Amino acid sequence: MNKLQEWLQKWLMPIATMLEKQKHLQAIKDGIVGIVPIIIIGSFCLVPTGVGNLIGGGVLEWVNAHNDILTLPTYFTTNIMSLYAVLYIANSLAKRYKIKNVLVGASAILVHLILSVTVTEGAWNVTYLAAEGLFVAIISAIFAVEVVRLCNKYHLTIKMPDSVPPMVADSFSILIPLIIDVVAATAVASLCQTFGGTTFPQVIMNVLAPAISSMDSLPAVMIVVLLTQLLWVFGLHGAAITSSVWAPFAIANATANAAAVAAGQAPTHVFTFGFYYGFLQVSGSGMTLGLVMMMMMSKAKSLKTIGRIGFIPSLFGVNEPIIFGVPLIMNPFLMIPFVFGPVVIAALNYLAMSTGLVGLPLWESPGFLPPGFQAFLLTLDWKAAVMALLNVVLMTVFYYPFFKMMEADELKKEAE
Amino acid sequence: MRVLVVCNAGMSSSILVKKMKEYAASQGEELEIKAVSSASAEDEAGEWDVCLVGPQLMHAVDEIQEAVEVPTEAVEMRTYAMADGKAALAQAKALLEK
Repeated sequence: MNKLQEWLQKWLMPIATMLEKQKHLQAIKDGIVGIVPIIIIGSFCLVPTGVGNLIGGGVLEWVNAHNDILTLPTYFTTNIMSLYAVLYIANSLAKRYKIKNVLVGASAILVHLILSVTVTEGAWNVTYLAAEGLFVAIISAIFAVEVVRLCNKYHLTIKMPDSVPPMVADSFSILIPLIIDVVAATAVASLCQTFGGTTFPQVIMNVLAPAISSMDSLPAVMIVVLLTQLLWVFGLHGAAITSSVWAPFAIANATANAAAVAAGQAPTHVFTFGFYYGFLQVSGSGMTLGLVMMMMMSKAKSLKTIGRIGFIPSLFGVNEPIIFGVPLIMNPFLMIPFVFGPVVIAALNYLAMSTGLVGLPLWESPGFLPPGFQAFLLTLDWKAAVMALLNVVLMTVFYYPFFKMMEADELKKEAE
Repeated sequence: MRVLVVCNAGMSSSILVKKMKEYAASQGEELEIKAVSSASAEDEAGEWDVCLVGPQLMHAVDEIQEAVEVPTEAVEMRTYAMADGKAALAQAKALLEK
């Protein structure tokens, strides 16, 4: 046990600290998480389509007849989500660098539009502002912010006297970065067009295709969950750390599913943001609701107290009181079910969805809801809600024998 | 005293914030306090006297301190778990006096 702990401490902690210090990764994560509300709103507008497909008949006819109005907002939310992403990521990165210029976000949008939109006889083609453009948005945001940072560093800016209002000074100091942005982005866009006969987003998608498809796979989901749980064993917020790598993929998948629903097709991706939080994190990391209930009924006073404190937050997916209270950190009794239970659940859920037994996530939905609710909102499939509840039940079974050992130990301590 | 409490989504920290507020009020102490997510920590630069961080983000304490520009420390685990307002407030005061 000590050997294992040492090994994990040696390898996991440095990874967590390194990821946290990596400003680009953190900015990408914050930016991606920041646009989730926009995607949820876009998803709401697809609910009539989803319900129509589910019920069929007159409802479907009515939905189809009014589809233009019902889905209008999706064109300006999920269908151009990378435009929001580029702004959020750029602002987030600028904040981390403590760059004060308010026009940095605008410069990132400009780079992204030049790289992603094709113009034919004055008409815009904005197809690549959707999920496919997310990775271009990441590149555009980082490029634009780095240009500003380097221009500041090497004093490549037009300085105004101090008496000039900040807004005016900002608009002058962004000029040189903007010139660099426009020249570079236009050059890249036209090179792709002239030599490849394609667009920059298409080039990026071709390069990333293997990574994207391997992220949405059974082994990838199991590894993500395993790492998340291991980090929690050390008291570190697992999902916050691992999601700096997988969040872009999960969001791109969810948006691609939403686009499929809007087009009347079946969604194809399992691993979305909602899949992770609505199924694999029901009642919090380690799906501890059953454990909490066993604690509430325990004869051991200490466990009972923490169970009571943790119950209500657990219903809404917040289980830090349990993780730090039991504690689940370095817990010799509960470590095995806490780390490996969710991996088993992840595998079962992934298989249930990929084989079509349970409906796939159609879009994104609000989270931090009682068990099963998010699962249903994500899929409009009652079987999905049942699966989310079964996850908690199954985890309770995994926890039970280990909990009993811990309880016996706790009772012995209390009797002393 | 002005205390900022940071956690991943600003959810679990809000439980502690509520308890700290209640305890301060019961003691008749003046306390300005807020829970935010780590992503919005930069927006709070210089607005607070001290910053407490949820123990789940202890690997990020240095980064958060750099963002908020005030003394920053991870909350003791047990304090965080039990949402112990009294202990957390004591920790914040000790941090201020350091």
